[in-house]
Amino acid sequence: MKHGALFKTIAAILFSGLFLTLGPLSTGVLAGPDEAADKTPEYVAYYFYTSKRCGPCTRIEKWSRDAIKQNFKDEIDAGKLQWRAINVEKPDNKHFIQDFKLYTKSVIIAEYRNGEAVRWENLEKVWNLYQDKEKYFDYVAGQTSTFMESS
Amino acid sequence: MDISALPILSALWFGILTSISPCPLATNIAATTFIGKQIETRYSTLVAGAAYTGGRAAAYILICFIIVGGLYSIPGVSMFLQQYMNKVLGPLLIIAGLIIMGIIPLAVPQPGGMNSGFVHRLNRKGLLGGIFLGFIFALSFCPVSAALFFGSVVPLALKMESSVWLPMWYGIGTALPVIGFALILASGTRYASGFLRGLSVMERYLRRLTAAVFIGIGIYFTIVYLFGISLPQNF
Repeated sequence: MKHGALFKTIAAILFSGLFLTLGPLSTGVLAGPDEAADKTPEYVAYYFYTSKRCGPCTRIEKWSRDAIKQNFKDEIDAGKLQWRAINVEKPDNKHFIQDFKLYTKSVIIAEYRNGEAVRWENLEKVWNLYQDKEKYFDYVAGQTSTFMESS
Repeated sequence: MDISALPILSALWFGILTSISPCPLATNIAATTFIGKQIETRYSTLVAGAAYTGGRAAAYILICFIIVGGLYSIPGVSMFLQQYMNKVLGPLLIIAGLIIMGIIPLAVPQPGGMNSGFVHRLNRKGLLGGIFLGFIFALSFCPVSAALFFGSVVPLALKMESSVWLPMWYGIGTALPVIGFALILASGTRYASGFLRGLSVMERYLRRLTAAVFIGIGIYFTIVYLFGISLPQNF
């Protein structure tokens, strides 16, 4: 009896958490084309972030941008590849969360045709490598290169 | 359900990696002091640690159920928790600190005439607080923990059709380093109490330390996440 009541208390705590997590059911997810679709190059290397920045996050952004710009200078100059950092908390950018299935701050390489993303890859290992600059640069450059070559 | 050792070890390791990454440092310190202050008996720290682990595991299992059940998508749950839970956490920690300090009396719900002595015993041993703390801290995702949980554990759980066991082992992994440090803190305190003025005095000091840590971290979270004021940080 005593234990049954205890379990009810614990269940109440768990259910309060359930309501917290179900909260976003009522919020709509903006969906729509990229606002710069008409200017979108063939490939875009994105860094998606939120308004709250953190040490590893700014490092990931800087290292990814540097890796792309250092290793793909010709592609960038030719307008084939572009680097973009996007705040997904801005209303116009929220659609990217669903477009690219974002679950945290992410580096994404996407291929566009006629302004629409036809293929993309989430460079998930950036979160495992953000403490090793050399491996990080090799990973980002290698994945981007493989992605662009495989189209 | 056939779960081999490798996915379990992976989930456990992802949990440990999450716990030792810099971004949950503040909540880990709060949890360590809370669990470490349970020095009433030799096993009190372990009991509070187990409760904290259970709370964390329950939160991760719940999230997996929500995703597996199709109630909401991985991006939706992850982004929502990262955006809002840290905002709630600051005021919650301040209130918890004031409760630990004894400034706010804790009114534990007693549905169905639950024996108040039993509830008080659980409360004193840090069981209810441990479960609650573990649950809330687990839901407070930062970018690194979101990357490891939603990017590694959830896909693994979906692939292995294990919405309970893998999130549970991940939860255990996230709690292990905290429990380790809490045990060191508790052992040190028990040892020191032999030279100082006894266990009850040390317990009182530890309670004040825990309350101060909770309130301090609560103020930090409130400033950074609720008011959006950036503070200098190196992690």
